[in-house]
Amino acid sequence: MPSVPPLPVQRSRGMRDLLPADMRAFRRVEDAFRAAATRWGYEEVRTPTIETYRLFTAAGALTPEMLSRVYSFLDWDGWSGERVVLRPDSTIPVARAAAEGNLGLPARLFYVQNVFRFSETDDREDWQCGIEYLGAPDAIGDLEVAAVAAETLDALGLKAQVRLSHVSITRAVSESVQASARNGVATHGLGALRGNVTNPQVAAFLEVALQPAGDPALLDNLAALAHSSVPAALPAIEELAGVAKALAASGRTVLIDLGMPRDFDYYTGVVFEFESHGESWGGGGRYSPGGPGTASTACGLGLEAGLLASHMAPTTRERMVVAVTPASPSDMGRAISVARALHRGGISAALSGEPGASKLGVTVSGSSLVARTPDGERAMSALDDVVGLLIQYK
Amino acid sequence: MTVKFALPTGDARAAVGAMLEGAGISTRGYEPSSRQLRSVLEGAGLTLRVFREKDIPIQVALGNYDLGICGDIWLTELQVRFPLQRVVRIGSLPGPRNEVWLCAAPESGLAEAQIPERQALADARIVSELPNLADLVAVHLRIPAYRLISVYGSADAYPPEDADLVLMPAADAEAVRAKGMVPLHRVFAGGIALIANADALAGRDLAPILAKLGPLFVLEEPALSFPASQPGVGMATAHPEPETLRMALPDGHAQRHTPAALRGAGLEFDGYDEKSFVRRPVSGIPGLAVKVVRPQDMPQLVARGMFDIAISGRDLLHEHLSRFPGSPVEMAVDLGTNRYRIGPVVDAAFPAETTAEAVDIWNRLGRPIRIASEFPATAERFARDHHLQHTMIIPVAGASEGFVPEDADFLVEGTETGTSIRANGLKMLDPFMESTACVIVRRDPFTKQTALLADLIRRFQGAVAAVPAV
Repeated sequence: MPSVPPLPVQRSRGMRDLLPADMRAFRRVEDAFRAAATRWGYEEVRTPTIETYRLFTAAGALTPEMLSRVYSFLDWDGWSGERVVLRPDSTIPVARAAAEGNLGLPARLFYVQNVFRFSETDDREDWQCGIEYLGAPDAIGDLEVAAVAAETLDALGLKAQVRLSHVSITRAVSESVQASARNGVATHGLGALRGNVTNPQVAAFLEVALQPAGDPALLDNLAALAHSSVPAALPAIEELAGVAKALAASGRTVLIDLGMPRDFDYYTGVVFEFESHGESWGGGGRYSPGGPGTASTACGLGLEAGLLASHMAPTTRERMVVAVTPASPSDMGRAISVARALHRGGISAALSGEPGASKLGVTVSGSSLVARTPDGERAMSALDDVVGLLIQYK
Repeated sequence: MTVKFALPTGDARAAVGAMLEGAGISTRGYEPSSRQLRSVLEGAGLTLRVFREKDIPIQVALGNYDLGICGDIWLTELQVRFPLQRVVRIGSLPGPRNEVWLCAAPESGLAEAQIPERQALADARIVSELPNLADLVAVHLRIPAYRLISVYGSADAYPPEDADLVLMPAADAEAVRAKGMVPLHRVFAGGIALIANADALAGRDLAPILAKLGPLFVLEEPALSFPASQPGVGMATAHPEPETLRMALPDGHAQRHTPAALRGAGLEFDGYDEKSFVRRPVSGIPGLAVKVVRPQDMPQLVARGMFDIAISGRDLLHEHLSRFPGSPVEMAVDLGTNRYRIGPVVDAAFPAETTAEAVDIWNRLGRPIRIASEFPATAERFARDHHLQHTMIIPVAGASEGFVPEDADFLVEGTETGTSIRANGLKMLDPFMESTACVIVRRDPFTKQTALLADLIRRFQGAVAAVPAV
């Protein structure tokens, strides 16, 4: 088979081409997500690839590590000194767009778009299926967003389990120890406190809290210890237990994992992560779209669309295309009619100069039609019969 | 096979030369008196090349040079933004120490070592000639919506009305104080270092040089430290008054012709003449404030509305407009002085005499054509206008004549008399522009003193009319 002639230039390092095989798998993921989100009343948005750099520093939500890895540059208006970035994240732009467009609350929004971040590995462009439920009510909002994620993964045949935590529990424990012991909690989770806690009650609480991935019943045990150690954590434990039990009741496998590292400068409540086949497919949680410390609430979700698509690729079939071949130039008009009839039957068909271009074909010669399938060739006179035959191979 | 060694020009030249001589490394051609930028020492298997310090880590990272000696400050400035550079810092060499300080003007109300809290810094304007480090400091302080003013130099000229914070190199805190600034935090301290290209280190014989430099290494590591906001600390900010007309005058070399141009226009400023300059000369004209800054920064500063009028050059204006065609800066008066031509400069032996012939040769080479220039946007525009198919623009800080032919195919460079180009074995093809000193303004002036602005422009026009063009 001839191939596209090579060009002397390759794609920019770390960027991603989605070729037909990738796109077929990607569309499966995207369609599953879009269907689930739409069922739950979410509406799609899309934000610009380029945003101002200030948007991300003003929100205060990105860590210095993330901010120092954005693609920033001076564009045509750069004479003003204002830098722009390729969006490193979609949550902040969606919140900005919703505010700029005066959307009423609550706003149930979803998107499928790419983000750009520098990385040492050659993976600098990522695609995400995301949800921003702005003005989401506590607990109920968390459950709904988690349901969209779980249903998306169900539709892809990935029976995922949900890992749950609550950053207010982490924060309460962290604040009950001396400041010097808190290093690393924001990035490495509650586990970073282990060994740094001198109060025996708090140490006991921490030991139970750090049990690897337990059942929701763990939270009842933890609440019992919290009264005498970290009482400030009680409301969060209770809220997390409510969400965990409701998710379990809806048939989900739930794991409580309070050691889960989550940036608690950013998240403000329940956080979750979906995993199966040894991969984390994404997660999310409650945050303040107005930046840390503001009263606004939202629940967000991001699924790794690129990762999911690569997982789905081996089981995603190529679509069959019927080659419709006019035997002579005078048959070209009829060949188009034959292709259209196949299209109406939901079959992909393309005109071809060679009968062997596809495993499925129709040769048009005057009023006679010859259908070719892997099971042999059949001469047919009625167009409907051709459609009826080929539809079985779709 | 010779070892390619990149060495600094400028202040460090004498000290580094003496150190290398002391270590038994021949430095013929590197003496401070030498005008050579490249010296091939065949007996020693060594090629020495003189660069502006800032360019050395880039050249070593690119693999154009195997070894280099440069200030840690420039290596750090590069590596904080581009962590993947293939540069290995082998060790510290004895030499001048340098620091980088975060500072503010006394008008900020900040005492030494005080760092304002996050919210007090919202929208802060940070000026620096080390933009990568300044960015890193700002994101570590988590300053909401900060603005970075990246300048070539004279950063201490900006606060308090044009910047809130300054990140600048200084010998120590005392040097910061001497510039009238309040030192808040020492962000960086370092000396000079021997650096190597990682591939060269792994695959080339650098042993003769390393053996000689080995005994010199000192135990002083560069240190990077980020400030932390202090709760409850606020800061006062100042902003320019639209009732004032603000004029920028050049410091350094470009200052040479400027006092004469001012005198021609009937302007004389106390503290700005051939012998001396202060940051803020006194104008004596009510409503006119004057500040002395780097000429390279002027178009940007006028575009931003930080100055209403500036004496700059058409080369710098062309560079700015090539990069930002929508910028509101324009030339108001061509002063006609400082005349020089800009064009593509190639090796004297290059087999072309015109730009067209050269472009024809370059486009048939089948590889990227490397263009080194102190005017990268102008160089890029030249490449576009002449349909060069595949180019790499190498922005350089100076000493550009040494780049051709080994490290660049050609330069986009200016020359007044052609002397320095010829001295370096180069020739200019067809010049594509002529630069002169000029007065630049903003299309939509920020100042309310429009009558005074018009008067100043008329004065400069009158001065030009009175002197026949050279």
